[in-house]
Amino acid sequence: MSGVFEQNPFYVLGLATGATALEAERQGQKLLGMLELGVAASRTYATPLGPRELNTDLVRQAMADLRDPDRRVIFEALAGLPATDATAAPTAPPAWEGALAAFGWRRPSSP
Amino acid sequence: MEAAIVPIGPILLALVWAFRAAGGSSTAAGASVRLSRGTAVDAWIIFAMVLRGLAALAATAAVAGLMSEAPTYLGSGIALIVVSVLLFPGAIVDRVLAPLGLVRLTFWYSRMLCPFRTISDPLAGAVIDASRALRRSRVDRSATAAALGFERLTWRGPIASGWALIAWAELADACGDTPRARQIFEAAARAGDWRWAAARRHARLWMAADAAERGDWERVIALGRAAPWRHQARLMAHVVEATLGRPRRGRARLVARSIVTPSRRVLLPWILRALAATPPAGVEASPSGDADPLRQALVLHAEAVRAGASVRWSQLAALALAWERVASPATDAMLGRRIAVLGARIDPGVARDALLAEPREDVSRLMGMIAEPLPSGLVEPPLLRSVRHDTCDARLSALESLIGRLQVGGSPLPPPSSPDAWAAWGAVRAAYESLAQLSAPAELAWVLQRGWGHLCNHAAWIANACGEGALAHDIFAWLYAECRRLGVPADMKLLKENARVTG
Repeated sequence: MSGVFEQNPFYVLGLATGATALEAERQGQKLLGMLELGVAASRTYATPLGPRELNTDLVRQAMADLRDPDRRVIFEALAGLPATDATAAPTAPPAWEGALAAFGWRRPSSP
Repeated sequence: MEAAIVPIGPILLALVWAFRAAGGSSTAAGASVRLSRGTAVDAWIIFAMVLRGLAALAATAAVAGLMSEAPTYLGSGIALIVVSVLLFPGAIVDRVLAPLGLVRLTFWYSRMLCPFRTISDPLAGAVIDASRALRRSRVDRSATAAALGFERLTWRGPIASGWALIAWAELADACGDTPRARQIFEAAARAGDWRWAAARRHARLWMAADAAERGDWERVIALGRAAPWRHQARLMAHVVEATLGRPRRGRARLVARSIVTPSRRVLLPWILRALAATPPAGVEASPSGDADPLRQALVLHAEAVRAGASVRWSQLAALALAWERVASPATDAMLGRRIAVLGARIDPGVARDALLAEPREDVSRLMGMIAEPLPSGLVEPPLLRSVRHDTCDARLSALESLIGRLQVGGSPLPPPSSPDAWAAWGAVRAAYESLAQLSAPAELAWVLQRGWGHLCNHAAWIANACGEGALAHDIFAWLYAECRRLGVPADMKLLKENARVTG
């Protein structure tokens, strides 16, 4: 996972670099609520590398990073590229469950 | 009567003889697996099921008014089954015995009919087949494998073709010990003997499928690049690269490779997905007149991260240079302004250092997956050199630790130790090659100069005390070739002679 882009709190929370601390807090809480409810729109976030999978740990870390002004200065500087939307860039395919089985190897069944 | 011409009696006698002979043949090969009571019960249960099916068929024929034909049908059916059993052992193992999880019977049947199988090492082939049955079995797999002495069995068998190594790895995987299976497959995939080509292909396919199952696509790409042209792992790598938007080759090449590669049906959904993937839009580069060093560094950074394993050393060097240019009074001034606005307490100089430390992790990660060897004469900016040296130091420590653990003397290891010895050698080779990926030839020669003596002693002990000629040969041959390539002042005559004696 790229620390520069994929862990940047501005991309994770979908905020502009000029967002206030209050806006960051509200956006984080909103995303946490949506993730808990399983809302499809909250499952990914846009980065300059394309969409990435979002989870509650990432959101909490992003909120903590933006509460610290010293950390926020660094992440602001690193958030200089626009994030691309979900269709602009290819994403890594999910793990191929059953790849071994497809070639004739079967994982042992539980005894 | 027509039934008189069907030799049912001799067929049954032949079957009984075959069952008895199977026990004898295993013993003659020095195997610990014999035709046990469990195997015989498995065999007779299947035979009884077949007879019952034939009896039902004959009864149906009788009811349908074909009474006079029933014995003929019965006899012909038995003859057909016997012929199938003798002529199509592969299909019987693949479709009947292994799916039913009949471990002993699968081993025995595969061993008995080995001349009809394609694997050049029949004993290892039988263990591989039995491993497949073991995966389906619901018994305690490790205990079953140990009770049957499979590891000991392949250790005693010929190892010249490399299939014994595959058998050990398959067995470890079937028993649920996947990390050990990975290490042994790794050793098999890296073995240099030309006679091991088929075993290497098998190992590479397992490793690629295992990596795909874990979602480790960079590993799939790396394995595919090292695979032969028509290998499935190569097609998998091509498909993954196209899916990730790294079109090193065109779609026509992908289609052509799909046609010539075996097992393309398995990969068809992935091939279609790759063909449907659109190339990445790319990050908008700065206009040529815009000289914002931070934005330029970010653009190059995004391109390098997106390239993944396809990133090139020249690209990393340009990226490192771009980040170094970020360290400027303009950046300090920009950071100072934001620090004042946000009310932060960090010093602008410290903030700049923290900013420049952020890309190190990504650069280090990219170095871990880069497929291209370090080119000679690359001009390294200080950031790149510093990250490379840190990564090399960590890899060198891991390699020296692995080499240090290799035994060079003492009493021989107990018989089933051979898979462990191969796994240890596989780990050393993997660690060496990961270090070689980031090292200049002179640096690598220095590393090998420090370690060749220990490796040579280990190989000599393996050959003399353990009788493991194949493993010792693999070590000696690799040491000789590598020392020669790098110009290491080792005892080349000794290495060459040892490789010849053990080969």
